[in-house]
Amino acid sequence: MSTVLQEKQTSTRAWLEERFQESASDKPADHAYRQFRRDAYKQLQAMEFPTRRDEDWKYTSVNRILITPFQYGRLTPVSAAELAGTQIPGLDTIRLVFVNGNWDPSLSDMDHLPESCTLLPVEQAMEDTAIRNWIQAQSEYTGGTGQNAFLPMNLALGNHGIYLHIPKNETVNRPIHFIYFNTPGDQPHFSHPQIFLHAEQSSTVTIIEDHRALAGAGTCFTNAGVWVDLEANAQVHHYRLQQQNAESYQIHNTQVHQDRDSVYNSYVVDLGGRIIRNNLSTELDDSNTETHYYGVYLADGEQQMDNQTFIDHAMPHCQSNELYKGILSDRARGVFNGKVLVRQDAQKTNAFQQNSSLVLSNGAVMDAKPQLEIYADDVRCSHGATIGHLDESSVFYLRSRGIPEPQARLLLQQAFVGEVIHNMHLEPMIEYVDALIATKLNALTSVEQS
Amino acid sequence: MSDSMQTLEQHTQSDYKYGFTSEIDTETLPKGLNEEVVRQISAKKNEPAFLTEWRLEAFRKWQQMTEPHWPKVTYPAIDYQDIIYYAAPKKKPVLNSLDEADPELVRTFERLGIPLEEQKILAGVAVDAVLDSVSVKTTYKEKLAELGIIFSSFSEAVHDHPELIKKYLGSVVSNQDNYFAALNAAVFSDGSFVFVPKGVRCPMELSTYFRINTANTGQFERTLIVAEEGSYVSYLEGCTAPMRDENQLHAAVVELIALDNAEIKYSTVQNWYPGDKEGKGGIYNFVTKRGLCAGVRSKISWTQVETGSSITWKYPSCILRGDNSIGEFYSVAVTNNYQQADTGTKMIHIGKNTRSTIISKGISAGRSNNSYRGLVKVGRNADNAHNFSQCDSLLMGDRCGAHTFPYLEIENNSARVEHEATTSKIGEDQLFYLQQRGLSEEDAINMIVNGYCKEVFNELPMEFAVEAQKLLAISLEGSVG
Repeated sequence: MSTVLQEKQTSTRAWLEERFQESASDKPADHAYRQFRRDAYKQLQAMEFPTRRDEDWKYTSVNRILITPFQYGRLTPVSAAELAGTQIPGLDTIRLVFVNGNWDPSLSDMDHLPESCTLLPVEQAMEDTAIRNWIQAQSEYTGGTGQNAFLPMNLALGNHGIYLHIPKNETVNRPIHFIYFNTPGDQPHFSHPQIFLHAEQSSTVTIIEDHRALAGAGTCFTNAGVWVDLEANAQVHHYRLQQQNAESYQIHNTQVHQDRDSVYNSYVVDLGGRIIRNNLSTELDDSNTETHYYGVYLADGEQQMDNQTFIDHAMPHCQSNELYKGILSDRARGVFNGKVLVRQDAQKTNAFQQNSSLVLSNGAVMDAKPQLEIYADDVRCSHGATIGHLDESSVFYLRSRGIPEPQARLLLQQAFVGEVIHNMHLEPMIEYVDALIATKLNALTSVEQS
Repeated sequence: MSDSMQTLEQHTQSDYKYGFTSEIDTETLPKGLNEEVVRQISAKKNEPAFLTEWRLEAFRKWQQMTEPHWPKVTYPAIDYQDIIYYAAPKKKPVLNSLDEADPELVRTFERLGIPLEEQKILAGVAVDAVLDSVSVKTTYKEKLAELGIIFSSFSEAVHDHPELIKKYLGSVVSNQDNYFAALNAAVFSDGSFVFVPKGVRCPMELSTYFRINTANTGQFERTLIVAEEGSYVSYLEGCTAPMRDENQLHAAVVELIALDNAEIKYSTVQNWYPGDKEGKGGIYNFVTKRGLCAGVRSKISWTQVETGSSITWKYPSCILRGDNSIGEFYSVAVTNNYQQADTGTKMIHIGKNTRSTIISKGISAGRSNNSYRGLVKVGRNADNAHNFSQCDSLLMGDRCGAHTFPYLEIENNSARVEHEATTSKIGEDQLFYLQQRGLSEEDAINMIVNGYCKEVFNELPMEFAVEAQKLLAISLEGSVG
């Protein structure tokens, strides 16, 4: 590593050290949670932050994030109107509200959470030995895309993590809506959203992560970590909707474990942010599982959106399916790096991966790297990647039917990403996301015409 | 283990059929590498000063570089001081006919199945046979000379056409391009040089056979092909090497330059010693191959059939600089036993309306690992660039691996880039169908594999296509998936 980089990392470590000291909880020093965070911090100290020399971070530099000495954000009031703005029409949810990383129980509404389910702050949950052991075990797995310093950073500095337990055979009908607000503050602030989700045998649950910024929120850095453990036959639908402002950064790590017959669906929609990096990893621990990754990214201006996915097929008879689509304009940069590993024992695996991007302007850049690593012979695996522009003959067709050109392009773009959106299992989510996408595409199109 | 697996095992037990050492006296420099060795190589070849300087510059640069380890291959560390960097047949024969050649050498070629006289008469192929490092025999040279085509060994070209060498050497792969290219530039012993003048269509396939003959000799060949405006040339390179226990390093460099409207077709059949069934021995094949489509509407086409070497690490690439230029890459890579291959291509689109096609077929058997690694880059000004890539992998057996690492870097919105990859095995139903038609399991496998590779074999010149099919059958002997 060059000396310049080393100096930068040293200064990053200095401000991280300050934050770590000031965030110590008021619990006694030997409290399990404090111990847990100390261990994570040690791990963080031993790791280097990724640079573009690391193969997995080749296209995205995090220097811009690391040089900013972020502070913890404060719990500031959120108005009723602002809260109402988060309502997804036609969808009743169990609501958890976080402001600048701080949980605000007064704005949250958890009345409809089934009584058998447990929802606790991680700090409190750690007092139970069984839960503590489970959380320890989850956080110890750093396979796939999880090998980066941001995960231990989340564990060491996060102070409002949520532990969620869905017991055997329980179906949570209402989606659990995690709303993360970034609000205006004096200086750049960061937050470390944390969700530990334990779905027991044959349970079903939907979580929606909703990252948004209020007007004037300034530069924020969200370093999120989500751990999902699916026991046999469990089903988890995981939505992640990201609409931060154009000055904000987000690094998002999701680590999933799947036991036999379980289904994990991930839906990722990225609309906002300056630098966005998603690391999504699933380890298939037993046979006959199903994993679906759906992703949409729309970037304009100087936005950078980097999706890294990893699926570890360790067991036979599993299925995985990935579909990521995005539209880039202005000087935006998109990255897709999908890796599928099929180990020797994972016979009869079906693994599919598709990434398509539309590049609207000449300043935009798309880098794709769909990888297959296969050690088993009786498998069906394929991947595809396309990068291109709108098919002019389709535009012509629509125009010949009397649709003006801007609308024709908009329609085609909407249809392009619509293919992904329509895989969502909640109808109101499809409509909601569709509308958000239309709004953003409209903005893109009008910029291009002006 | 199923029956089919057993047949596979039997088949893969077959020994390397081209393993023998011909006993010709060779003059060698002592092991090791330093500036003095570089100077000596240059002196032995009576090279002009500019080339000596060029070598030394490369050597100094090489000393500052570190060996790259990013490919998905593993091998014990190479001791660069334990290699003989120069070996030449002692009696440099000046031959007018084949009778004057060392009879041992002629026999060697006969055992390889390339009798020079036969080829001269039957195939109409001019063979520039390179045994170890010095060119021994160049045929058809006069015929080509009539057309103005220069086809000679590299050292001859240095003496006869220094101005061309000076102009083009290192213009595509510089003497400090990468670790192995720098090493090659410092110590390259010989190679081939082809120059096709303006408007000339080379009437025959030019071909060279490389053989690694002296034990512990790294073979550092350098090929330079220049096709002037509107010319066409098809170049064949085929390789077989004798059995060795110690790994031999091969770090060749191939540079192609196509000017306006020129076309170069470069075909390779590589069957170097892959090591024995335990993965012992075998050739390290670390090659830098790159073509520059310098002019408008120029075209460079790489076709390769890679069956040998214990480690193959090469990425024949095209830099599409001229507007409307075309780059193609067709590859069949077969790995068996403990072989490792990390191969693919780079297509760098710089000019407008450039097109590239990548067809890569990987076959892995035994305990081998076969990776496709490729880059498609479309620069900011490369309007209307179009790329199509297809990478298929075939797995024969459950101890082998097939990997794909495609990189797509697109900076222009008018580009159209498509990449697809599949991984599969030979279906039981396909086998069953062929067997119930009366084919043996072996023949059935061969037929399926040949069908799988057809797309690439079709790109090979006729003589090579036959050889390639034969090689494929030998490489996968007994492999039933």
